[in-house]
Amino acid sequence: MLPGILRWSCLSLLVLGGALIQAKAGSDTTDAVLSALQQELARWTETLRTGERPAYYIAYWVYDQQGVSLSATSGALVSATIGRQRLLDVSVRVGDYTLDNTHILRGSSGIQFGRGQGSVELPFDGDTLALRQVIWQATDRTYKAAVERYEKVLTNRAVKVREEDTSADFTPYPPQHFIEPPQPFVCDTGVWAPRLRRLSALLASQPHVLASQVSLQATMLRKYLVASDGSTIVTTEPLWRITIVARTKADDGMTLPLYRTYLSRSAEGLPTLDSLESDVRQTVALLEQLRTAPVLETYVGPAMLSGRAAGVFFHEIFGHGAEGHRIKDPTSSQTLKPFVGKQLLPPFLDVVFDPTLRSYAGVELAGSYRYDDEGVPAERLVSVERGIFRQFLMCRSPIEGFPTSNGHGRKQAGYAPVARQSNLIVVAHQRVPFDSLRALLRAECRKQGKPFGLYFDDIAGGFTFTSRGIPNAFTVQPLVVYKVYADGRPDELVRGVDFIGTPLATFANIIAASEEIGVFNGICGAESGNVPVSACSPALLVSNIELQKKAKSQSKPQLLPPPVSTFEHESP
Amino acid sequence: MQRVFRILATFAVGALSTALAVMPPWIGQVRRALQDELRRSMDSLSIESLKKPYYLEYTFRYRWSARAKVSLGGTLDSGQTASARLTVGIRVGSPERDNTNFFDAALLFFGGDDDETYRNRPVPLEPSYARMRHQAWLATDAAYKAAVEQYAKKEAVLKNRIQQDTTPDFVLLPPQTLADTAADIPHVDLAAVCRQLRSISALARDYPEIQTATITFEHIPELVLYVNSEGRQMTKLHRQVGIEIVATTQAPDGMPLAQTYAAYARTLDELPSWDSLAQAMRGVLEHLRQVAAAPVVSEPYSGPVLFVGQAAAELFAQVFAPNLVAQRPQLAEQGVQEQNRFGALQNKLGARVMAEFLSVESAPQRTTIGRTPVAGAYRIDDEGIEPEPLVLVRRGYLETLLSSRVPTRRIRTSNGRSRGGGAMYDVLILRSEDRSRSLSQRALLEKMQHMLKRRDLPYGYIVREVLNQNLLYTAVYQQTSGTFPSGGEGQIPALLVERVWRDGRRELVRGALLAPGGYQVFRDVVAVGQSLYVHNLLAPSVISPYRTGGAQYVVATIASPDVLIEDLEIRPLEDGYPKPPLLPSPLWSATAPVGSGPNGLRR
Repeated sequence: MLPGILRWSCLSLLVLGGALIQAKAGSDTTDAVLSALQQELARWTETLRTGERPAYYIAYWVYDQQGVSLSATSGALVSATIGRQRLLDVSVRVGDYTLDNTHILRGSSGIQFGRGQGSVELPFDGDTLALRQVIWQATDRTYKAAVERYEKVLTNRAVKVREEDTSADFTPYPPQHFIEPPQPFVCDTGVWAPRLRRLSALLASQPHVLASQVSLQATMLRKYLVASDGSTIVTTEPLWRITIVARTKADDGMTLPLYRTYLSRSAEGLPTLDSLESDVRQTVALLEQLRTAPVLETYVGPAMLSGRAAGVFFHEIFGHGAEGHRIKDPTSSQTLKPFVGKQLLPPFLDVVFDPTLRSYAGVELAGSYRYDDEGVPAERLVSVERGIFRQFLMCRSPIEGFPTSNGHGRKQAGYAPVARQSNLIVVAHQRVPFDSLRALLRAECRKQGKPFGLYFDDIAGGFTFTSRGIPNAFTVQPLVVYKVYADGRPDELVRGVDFIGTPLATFANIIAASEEIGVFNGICGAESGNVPVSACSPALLVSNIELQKKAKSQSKPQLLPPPVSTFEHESP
Repeated sequence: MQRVFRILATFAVGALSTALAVMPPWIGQVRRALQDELRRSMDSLSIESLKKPYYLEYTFRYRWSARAKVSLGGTLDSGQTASARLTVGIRVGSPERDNTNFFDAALLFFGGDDDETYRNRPVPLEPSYARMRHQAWLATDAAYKAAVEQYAKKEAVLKNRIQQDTTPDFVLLPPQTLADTAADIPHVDLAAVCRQLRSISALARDYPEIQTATITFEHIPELVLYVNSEGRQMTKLHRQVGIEIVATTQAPDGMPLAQTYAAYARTLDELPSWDSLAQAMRGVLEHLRQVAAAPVVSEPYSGPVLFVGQAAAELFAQVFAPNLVAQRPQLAEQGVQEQNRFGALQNKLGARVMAEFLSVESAPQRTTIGRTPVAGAYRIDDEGIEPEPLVLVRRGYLETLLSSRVPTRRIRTSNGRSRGGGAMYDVLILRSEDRSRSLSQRALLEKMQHMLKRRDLPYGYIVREVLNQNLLYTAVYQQTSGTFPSGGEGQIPALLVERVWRDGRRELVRGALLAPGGYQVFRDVVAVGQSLYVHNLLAPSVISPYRTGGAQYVVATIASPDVLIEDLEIRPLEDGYPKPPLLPSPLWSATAPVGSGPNGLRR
């Protein structure tokens, strides 16, 4: 028996950063998973082919994920999780390609129960039989739910008016066969934990940083798709992500956060410690400036978006509108539908979605993949060409005029796939150097008689209302905004505003783009869950934007001063 | 009072000397940081003319948990997680009237607009003086601002109300230092545990008629450090380990069925051996197989019912025990009403609440009953109070209730029962005070037969297994995709029930819902068994965790003899069932050709 103190240290050591998490590359369990999926698929396909309500398509997805998640605050780990999970999703389609159980139920207030069944846990070791038992049960349950929903679909169709878009519910696709070799997953928490501690201590080194966290999520996802149309696809998707979050509070109660995210497919692709330290120092300094920055009142006038900010803007405002499945949704405003073949953006802009691209402007892209989650190979898609809207992002649910998938059916475990974005790239055919774009902003201010314009350096995210029942406005939440004075005075950091507007009017106001490209990598959440995406864009000049006051906490800053000044020199 | 202090001081010193060997090296820094921030906050925290805090407490919890879930020889989940959390309790006003015991619906449902949390706030796993002070500072600030607002709301409500109840909101106590850290910090070889569990779970492969069979293991040692502004401080190592077996299937008519087994203890050594667990697994699977083939309870029944072993203890846990917890109704703004569950005995002190030959004792200090380890045992509660043994019901009459430091109209002081966020029942022993009413199981059956004849009933029931609520909500629902028929409010699913005919024939039945109708059913106990069944369980918190921010389930122990109840209602399931699976389980293919099982193709 070890003495108590030593034993406690051992426990701490294991969880707090001393373990080399290593999974061998090999196909030991892949074979068992594939075998189990294929055996159950064969049994169920045969059984459900006939009967009163036959199933015409069955698909199984397995998400086999190993991962390490570490978070540190104030120089110490605050959470540490090492885990393995294997999840199963099942899709059973009852009816036929034209009309099946996944069809939208109209008039049900947007609630579409029964379209996705959620994931079930699969054993991540053991043999085929243990896997088959779970697959068997899940298929039975999913088929019964599909039949129930199909009956509702038939009735719904009978009692409602003719649909605007009468396209089929699903489209066939030639079977695909692809099995990617597994990759080893090695994450040395003994290396990463001290790095996170170091960065988080730096981040919390100033009293104005009230809360902060540095996190690492390293995952190795082995994804299986086996479907009754003959497709078998097994891919390996490693993802490494570092997130830095820090928050301060202004004297008026306004909470001011800053975020930085870095994504890569390998540990080596993440920034070096020196580079991260430099970013952390900048973040701390910027937070202090933000805390005392003046509050900007509502504003209408010209603005410039940095490349990253413009990327996020396009992702939120254009990208979600271009997701094809929404065109079938009778509650959706379908803003882009009438613009097919028409001018949507200024003629000097293209918008491309390209999941086949692994990097852009020297930066790795998060939204890359070989096959989408419906077994369709990833495809480069020019959605907007010279300002003319050409194509929607398509999954295997066709819409009028777009009968086939272009490899953008994506999903997270537990959800049904819909058309989602991949790597969004805004391409400008006319570009000017960044400084010239600033000069153009000043000129635009002078032209409009405005004393200043705005420069959006960083954006947290945003959202657009796409439902018909409410105005289709968007809100973009800036993190770092500067006033750029028309008379050439130095820029001034401001706070407290959101960027609002309507998509079409704002697109029309884009007047210039820079040569420099910004890349934003992130995780996008929508109807089919969270998927990794990228948004790349030059900086853009917009002739007219509108700002509104940001919602803010009414809580006072802390009543007492901080009890300690720094954590930087504390060792855990 | 003086005498109590001397005893506690002796215990504390003794425990501390052993405790030093097992305490993590940073514990001293955490304690000092919390005490320093507590002192500063009590001295300086104020907003203009608003009330300053008169009481402040910090609870720091460091938890190291290991978990595993297996099925049919494969692992569904396994992992280890560490967490450290800080909870701040703050009172403004005075002990007579402060910000607590007030139901602030807006705060509960919509939360405050402060960025900081002060209940279960995650804090670094590698605590240091500076880090803990920083966290305590942020949490205390948020807690104080919320408290002064709540106090103002409460005062405003009371201005328009004539309050009948003048019970103070709090009673201050003298300083005290307690420790319960003498135990070793346990180590779990999770890989070895998983191997054993997988092997046991593989037994289900011989039962192809079973749809799901899982074994879940959880080991949760927790180090708790508590300090308050009275000078009370406590350090304890709380240990908890549990194994749950849940198997489910559908009868040929589709009725969802489940069988369960659970063992909880404070240490791994106290759990049943692997051989015993394998036997328990076989028992669960066999019972499920038998129940699936049993006839259905098709008619409502009202008459004598004999509860045996686990069923007697679980019935007591669900129907009677929660009522033994002192509860204080919360003042609320007009139009807002909080449901007070299990409040039936709050005004019954001195009244007869069960059969006159029965008594109930609370004995949290007991670590074993007979030879069975007691999972619900503890030495210090979550508010730093040492619990005393208590007789709650003596010969049928209610003497007292289990209380925390929240004063109630009848129970003003704590008797050391605060666990998981509020007062909670712990180790309850139900015993007979009359030997003539303590009968062997055979005699109990004879008595029941006699009662059946007297009432001219063709049959009665023996209940052997009652579904535990924790297992229902955390496993059975999940494994049956929410289709398990639990009967709704006031009804309890019985898992293993025998119908006993007047001529002595017995048969297993399925689909029985117990409708005991409240604690009063224990007034109808006519006789009990001669030995105690010790039932360790995870019991739902009596005081809602939504109110306290505490745990949803708290470990407890009920020791109960078999119980013969004169009249209890048993109802059949009335809802329809999901259809059985369309295809036979793949498990059949391991033992027989596909399609030859009893659930063969049915389309």
